[in-house]
Formats: sequence, structure tokens, C-alpha cells
Amino acid sequence: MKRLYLIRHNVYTFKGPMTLEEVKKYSKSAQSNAEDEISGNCSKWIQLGDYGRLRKYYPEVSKVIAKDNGDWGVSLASVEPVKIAFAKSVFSKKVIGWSAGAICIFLATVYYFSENGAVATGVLFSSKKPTPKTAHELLVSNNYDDLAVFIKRNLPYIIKEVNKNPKLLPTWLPYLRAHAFNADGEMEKMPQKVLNGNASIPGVADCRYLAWIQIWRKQTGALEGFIQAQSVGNTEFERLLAWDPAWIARRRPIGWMKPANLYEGCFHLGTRAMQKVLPNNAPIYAALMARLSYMKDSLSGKRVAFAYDNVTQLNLLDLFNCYEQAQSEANIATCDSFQIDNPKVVDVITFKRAVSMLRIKQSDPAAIQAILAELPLIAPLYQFDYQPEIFYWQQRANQMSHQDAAKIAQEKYPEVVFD
Amino acid sequence: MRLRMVGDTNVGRRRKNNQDSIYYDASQGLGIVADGIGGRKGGEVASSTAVEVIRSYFMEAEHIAHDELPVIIANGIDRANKALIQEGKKQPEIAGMGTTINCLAFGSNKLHIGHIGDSRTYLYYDGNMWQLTVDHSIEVFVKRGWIEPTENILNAKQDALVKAVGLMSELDVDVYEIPLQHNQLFLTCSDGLYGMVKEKRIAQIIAENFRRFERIPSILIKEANKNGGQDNITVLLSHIEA
Repeated sequence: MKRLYLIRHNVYTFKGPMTLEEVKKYSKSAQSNAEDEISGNCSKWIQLGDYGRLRKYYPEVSKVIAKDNGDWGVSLASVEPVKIAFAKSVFSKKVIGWSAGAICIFLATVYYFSENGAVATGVLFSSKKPTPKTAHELLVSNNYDDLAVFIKRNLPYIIKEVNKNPKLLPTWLPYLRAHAFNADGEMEKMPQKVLNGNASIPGVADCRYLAWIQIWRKQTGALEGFIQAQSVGNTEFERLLAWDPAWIARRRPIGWMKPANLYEGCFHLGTRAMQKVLPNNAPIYAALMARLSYMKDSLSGKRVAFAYDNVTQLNLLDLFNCYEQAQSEANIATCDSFQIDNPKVVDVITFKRAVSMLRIKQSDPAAIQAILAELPLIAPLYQFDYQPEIFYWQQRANQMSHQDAAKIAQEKYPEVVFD
Repeated sequence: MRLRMVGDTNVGRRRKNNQDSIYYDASQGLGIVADGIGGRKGGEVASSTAVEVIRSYFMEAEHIAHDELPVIIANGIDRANKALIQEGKKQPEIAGMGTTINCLAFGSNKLHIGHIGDSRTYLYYDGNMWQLTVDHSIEVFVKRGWIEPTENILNAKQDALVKAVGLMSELDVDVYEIPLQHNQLFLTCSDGLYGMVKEKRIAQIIAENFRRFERIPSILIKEANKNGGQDNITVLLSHIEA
């Protein structure tokens, strides 16, 4: 008996049965899309774009499809990595997150201005060759509807051009991503790996909207315990809720504009999915929304004031806000006044507190070293702000060997290259 | 390509009457399986009425062009839906009756399947088997994200039907399409079969008896009854001969 697969295309039509080789061929064809489902003999239907589950149920299929992801005619590694020099001195390191962001915008804008001229009205349906400048114009004016029309209409052309000349990918990528992440975090005919880039998010395997819907549905039961600081696991929603918005905002890898990076895109899709899944009268809804709204405001540059003088009772999410917005040791002392019993939750809070202290003491090298020295020598569960994160790994490098620290850091932050 | 069809239905070991109905005619390229719901009498009336209405609708439509098949299927099931609602109004004792439907219409190179409810059509090919139709049950709809998992939904019986013929005036029929190949075998059945016999076992029985095609329905029914026969069992097999 040959192992065969059937593809469910747009729910109601089928392709196949086909061999693995034919699946590979199909996945590269123009008619395939991430929402196509595949099934083997008497087995589950899994979406081709759902790499996590595809790897679990059909590893052989995920392998051939993963190989195809590189077929955009470009080495992904050449597009994204942010290279950070891992020098000997702890305090001589340069964080280049912002400059990487600048390169991204620079690339896109150079292309834009090199076209020399304003975008003509009706350009969406112009017979001229589509250029990134149109997409740029639409994106900077937040005209996502027209951007979607433009991208959808011209995607076959863009793919063809990028395959012909891989150097064009960075000029298109910010707009393709803006379009995809304004929708569901995925795009027909665009491999997820190209869309997301090399950045991976520790603990969050899949950032698409549909994946978040499943996450919130499956993990809702654990939410209340987490919010009430009674339990902490390693769930995706915990990671999302514990992200420091300042940390997200400062990561600006190449190829992103709006959202500024994969984390921000992931955050927005996770938030939207939460609002879709949880009824807004659920007891935990208000607490979740308070945290997510604060994060959203912070990401959009709004300064959010925490009422340190009027603190009565805090849940764990409030406590995150408390530490993240602390401007002084007195503010931190207010946050500290709330006792947490669960040791695992204490670990989480310890890191949150350390990040706050690092920010407050940023001009005091000795204090920074002292704070980092107190942290356990383990990879933190949650994200530091960008600069303290680098300090942390440098500190670890000093305590271990450079190589070990770099190795751990590399696994945790694959988009960052440690020399 | 030549189409062969064979089918059978059985009351099972627990039910007093058979609320399933089946119709098939290879020369017409039409096969229908229905599983009635809504009380003893209501279920029987619903499934047999729906099958008869759809069959008549196909008989009325002369010279159906292949590309019209999806529309004809949807219209036929829609007509059955209206007929059941009408019948329920006339006979209050069977009001609220409904039925699942799997209606197979074979064109020259494609099979179209009209589907409502949780009766299923599988494709068996070269030792592999796949479920083609997606059950219209709460559990499946929630898993696929097609309905909101509100408290009411989550507290409901998870195998309860989201859609059935005869329950609502507007019916959105799923019409599937699959290209035909030599040696494909389509198994259409009510939940009395797949609820009692695991899919892998069904595939195994088909593989073992592939050369004695006409015997497969009775063997599958026997197996379902051996495993408890909790519900009525209906099996329809359609084979695209080489």
C-alpha cells in the first residue's frame, strides 16, 4: 500500500490522492494556500500553514513544505539577521536594534524616492508595473484596505520579480508583512517562514490569528489562576501577557514597518483573538483588557500613568504594569509591597523587577552588575528590555565561557547573531 | 469509467425501527443516504421523504449538464427541506423532524456530494481512506472555529447537529467536489457505522473484500452490530471501475 495524501482546498474541493512528491509539487503551485488541509490514511486534516501541527502529525510533509519555503529565490539569512558584536567589555556593547529598523525603512524609502514622483490617483489599477512606492504610500497613510487590494492584485507579479531578483525582497517585505499582519498573520502564496522572517518567539510557536484563537480556547482554564498569581505555566498567553511593551517597541529588525516587528504583529493578533474568543462579560475579561490596552498604548507611544499613590489591590497583570512603569525605587517599593506566595510566580516577578531596576539604574554600571548578579543563572522565561537583555547575556558570558553564553543566547534569540 | 453501486441498511441492535433511508441507481449516477431525527415516526418520515423528494427532483431535471450538478443537488436538498417543514405543519405530531443527507451525483469526471448533518462520505483508494465530508456537529464546528464557543454551546451535547434538513427555512448546503479516478471507492454511511466501527477497521474490511465488492455493505453492517449496533446502520458503496 502506497502512503497517499488528499488535499482539501477551500474546504469543499479536493486534490489527489497524491504521493509525497506530488504534495511537494502541489505546495509549490500557485493554487496551493496555507489554509489547504492535508490528510493521510484515516488521519486528521491539518492545514498546510499550521506548521506546528503539521510537524506533529505529518512530519514528512512538513519537511518537504519547509524546504519549499526557501524557494522565494533568496536566502532568508541574508535578509534578516541583526548582527551584534559580542565584545569583552560589558559596557562597550552597541545595541543596534534601532539602526536595523532604520535600514529597513531606508531600503523601502530609497526605493520609494528613487521612483521620483508622487503616486498617481488610481494607481491600484494602473497598467504600469507595480512598485513598492505605491505600497509605501498606502502604508504610511494607514490605508490598509487599498494596500490589501494592491498586494492581492499584484502578488503573482511580486513573486515573479522577487524570484528573478532576490534583492528586491527587502523592498517589498515591509508592505507584504503590513498587509498580512493587518489581516490574520498569514498570506496566500507566501510561506510563513518568509513572512515571519528569521525571528522566532520563544514559547510561541505560531503567531497567526487562527493559532491564537486555538490558544485562547484551549488555555482559557489556566487564565484565572495566572491572573490571580496562583499559578504560572509556560503557556503562550502567559508569554504574551508578560512581554514588556518597551522591549517589543525597541526590537526593530530589518523588513518591518507596521507592525514594527514580529512581536508587535504577534501581540496584535493575540489580542484580537482574545477579544474574539472570550465573552466580554467573563470575570477575567476586564483584567486582561486592562493589561492588553496598556501594552497597546505603550506600543503606540502613548505614555500610560500608573497610580502608584492609590494602589489597593493588584492582580499579577497589574503587577506587571506596576513594575514596567516604575520610574523610581519608591515606585518599585510600592510594587514590592504586594506579597506573592507561589515560588514560580515569584521567579517571574523577580525578572520583571530586575528589568525595572536596570532601567532606573541605567547610568550606574556597578548597580547594574549587582542586579544582574542576583538573578539566577538560567535563561529567563520572559523577555528583558532590549538593552538589559544584552547586558544580561554579557554578564552571563563573563560568568560562564563566552561560547556557552552565546550558544544559549543564540537559541533564545535566533534573530540576533552573537559573535 | 463505469460506476457500480451497492448499498444496504439495517435497524441495528438497539433501535425498534429504522430511521435511515437509502437510494441508489448507478445508471443515474445518483446515491442518497439519510438518517432521520425527531422521534420514532418523525425520523422515519423525514429521511424517507427527503430521499424521495431529492430522487424525484433529479428525475424531473432532464439532461443535466455536468456543471449544473452542484446547483441541482443544492436545489434538491432545499426542496426536501421545504417539504419536511410543510409536512410538519400538516402533522403536528411529527413537527420538528429532520434528517441528515449525503447526496452523491456522479458526473463524467467529478463527483459532487451534497451534505447536511453527520452522515459521512469517505474516499477509499489504494489502501488509504479519507473522510471527505465535514460533520455538522457542535464539536466539529467549534474545533474549526466556525461557531463561537459560548457557554451555551460548550454546555450542549457536543455531537448535536448544527444543521439538518427540515429544521430551518433557510438551508446552506455543503456541496463537495472531487475529481474521479479509476478504482476510487466512495463509502457513504450513517453514524451507526462509523460510531461502532473505527475508520481503520472499515478501511481494513474494504481492503480485504475489495474483490467481493457487493458483499462489503453486509460485512460492515455485521461488524457494526457485533460492536453493539447502537443505532441504525446504512452503507452505500460507489466504485469507479477501472
